[in-house]
Amino acid sequence: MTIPIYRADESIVIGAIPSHPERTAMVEADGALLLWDELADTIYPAARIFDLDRAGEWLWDIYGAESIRGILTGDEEIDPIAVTSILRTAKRLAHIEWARSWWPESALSSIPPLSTHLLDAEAALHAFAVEHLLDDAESVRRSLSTVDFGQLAEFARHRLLGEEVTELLDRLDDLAEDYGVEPIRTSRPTPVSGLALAAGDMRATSTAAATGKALIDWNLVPAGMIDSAGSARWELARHEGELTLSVSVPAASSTTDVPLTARVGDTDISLERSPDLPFFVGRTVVPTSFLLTRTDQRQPVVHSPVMGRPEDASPELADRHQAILAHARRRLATPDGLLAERIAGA
Amino acid sequence: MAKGDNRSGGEAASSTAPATGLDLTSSTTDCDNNAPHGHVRIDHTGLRLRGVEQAISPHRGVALPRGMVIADAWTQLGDVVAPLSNSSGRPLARTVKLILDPLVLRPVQNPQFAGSAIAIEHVDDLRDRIHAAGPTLGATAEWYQLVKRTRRRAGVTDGNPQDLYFQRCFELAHSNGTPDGITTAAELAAEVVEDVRRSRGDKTVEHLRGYITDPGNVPALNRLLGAAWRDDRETSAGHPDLDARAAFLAACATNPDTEIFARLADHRVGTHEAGELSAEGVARDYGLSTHPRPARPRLGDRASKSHLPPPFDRSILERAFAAFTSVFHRESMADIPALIRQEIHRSAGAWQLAEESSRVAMVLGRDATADLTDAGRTLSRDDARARLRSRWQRQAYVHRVLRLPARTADGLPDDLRADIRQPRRAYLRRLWVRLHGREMRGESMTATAIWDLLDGVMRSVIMDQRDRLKDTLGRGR
Repeated sequence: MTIPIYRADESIVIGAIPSHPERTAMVEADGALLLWDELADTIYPAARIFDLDRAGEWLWDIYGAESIRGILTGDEEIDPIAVTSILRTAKRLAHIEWARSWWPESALSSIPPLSTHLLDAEAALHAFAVEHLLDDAESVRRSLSTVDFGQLAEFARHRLLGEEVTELLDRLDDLAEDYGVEPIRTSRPTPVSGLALAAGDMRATSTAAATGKALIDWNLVPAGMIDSAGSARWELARHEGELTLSVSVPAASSTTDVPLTARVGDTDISLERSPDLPFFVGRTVVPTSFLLTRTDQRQPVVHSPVMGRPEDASPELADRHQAILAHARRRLATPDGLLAERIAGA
Repeated sequence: MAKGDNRSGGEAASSTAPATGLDLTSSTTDCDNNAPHGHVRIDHTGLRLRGVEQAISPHRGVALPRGMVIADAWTQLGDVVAPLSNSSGRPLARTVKLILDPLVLRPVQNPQFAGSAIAIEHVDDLRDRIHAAGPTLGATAEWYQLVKRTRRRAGVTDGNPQDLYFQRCFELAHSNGTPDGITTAAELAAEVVEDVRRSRGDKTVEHLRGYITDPGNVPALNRLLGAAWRDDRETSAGHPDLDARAAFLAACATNPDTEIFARLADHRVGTHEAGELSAEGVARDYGLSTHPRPARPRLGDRASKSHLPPPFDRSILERAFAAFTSVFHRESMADIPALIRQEIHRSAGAWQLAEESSRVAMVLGRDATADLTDAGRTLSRDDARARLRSRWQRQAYVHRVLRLPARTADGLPDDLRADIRQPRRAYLRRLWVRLHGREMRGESMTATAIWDLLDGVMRSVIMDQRDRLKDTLGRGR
């Protein structure tokens, strides 16, 4: 497989950098970022190299000993052949990082959440195997200190995969001792909420003058907060003599309490967690002149102010989201997927 | 897969590396471009990579990545070193940092083993050296296992065992061979565990607090503090040496100039540059104090790991205490009364540090982070200033990929937002803490260690901010 190398002042780039954050699986390596495209079926990552001195010590683990000469000497392409266990492990570690950030949990699309405890556990194990090429020398300890061994033990009772979890726990116990991490053990598992179906619409309150739905840019909300297949539904209605604009967004399993806002034109509507339904909902009174607003300017832009400022959504966002949702469904059925994926998909 | 399995590191789908390891046969002086796989020939023509170029033999121009040579030699040691290896069979990061580099390869004494590429004529030498250390490394691994078992039985869980015991185990292996070979192995292991436990334990910290708060000691210590802050202050000495500072930073990441660094220390550049700290607000802008001007520290009567104030606002007790909570070697620490006296004198020194080399490092860190957040002027890619800026600025991309908040997000907590906008404060604070820790351990700052320090501090600041961002999102770490 021929991979091009681009050399610029700032960095050296091997291969094609994945086009969007939600499809980028990354390992922060010593002197370089390794970047796999989640949707592409390639074992070799792209690399953005900032410090070739450092990266030169381990790049041969990724692209093979036969490619390192070309990378170091200014070749314009390499043709790697070898696939080492280190390369496979690094790719898996990148996939875990991707899942932590972009797993598109969705009741509407039947994509269950992944256990963060299992993801943390597998991340620690994989980080240990490739520790020598990671930028952060503390990454194993860092991952281990997030694993809740008590909650992980609950998965050891799993009908099909319990044995594998037990084996994982044994290895993590050894690692925790080796890295001087006092394992966290809480006795009761946090209930991983099942697929609380958010398919129902907001409760009918009055006569709607107009309704619609708008896509939600995943970049603007924290992972696991909203249903990834969900949209922001809005409704303009007369309510007790006033014109009101309501917005509802289907929630996912994360219990994070960061604020969520729907921006409509110049108006910000605060969205609160509904006490009895898996939705974030908000409502505001708008002047009658709002009815004259062009439909495209009435579209709510849902965002959490802790994540960033709303931007104009990219026109291909819906397709990009669909591709990730389909990818997650495939992952759930992959026999050699992560334990977290196999347990969620079982 | 058990730890230590799959040791070849060359599970080659197309068999480009032999099953026994990597083909690094280097008895040849092969300069042929068609050298077998595993050989790396680096041409000077078209080479844009100065750091690598400098590590290449000027005569043959052939070199191998250092990591590759070490991995190969390590593989040949076999399973005896598994406790010092990761699950891919590579030496652990701390095995390299605490054992292989300082105790086996010793790149300061053996510059042919320094740098990221090993000239082909030194490859055998490096491999032989690791091979020769094989029995000691194997014995180190056995001692490490024994010490860990002993620690477990003693119920000790505090601290990273690799940090605490690796070098002690190497010493034991060096003096005694394997634990099987001597009858006192169990006692020796218990001694190591107890020694380390005692030196890190509450007892020592309690002793420290007891000494500094003892009414019999307080008046004399306060007099000493007053005298030091009156007599030890040197604000006008030294030279700025602006060009030399810039020249050092330009090359320290790839080819640190020990002469320039020595000259900066001789010219007392660190002391000179500390003069600005007495001006209103400077220490505060650097994140070293919350006061407009640094004030004389108190002796103090309590210290907590989690709520230490900025460096210059720390009491003498807090300063000494901080060193007890980090990794250190007890034998290199002074006894408590001497340690407190040292700390008092240090607090009155330029940058509140004792060694000129540490002060120079503070100045270099300050210079290197001056335009971290600006587009800044154009600098060579290898310049420390450009590298730190690049590390900081690429976090914007990394955060997008990790679905973390944008730096511009309005909804972040105020303190976090301020720290993100002014990373230099956290940077200089952390740099000071590291330099102070080194001084307390008796380790002098050297030219060759500067870049790793400057870069490591930046990484640490970034990871800390990332953890705080994840906390804000309720994502855990």
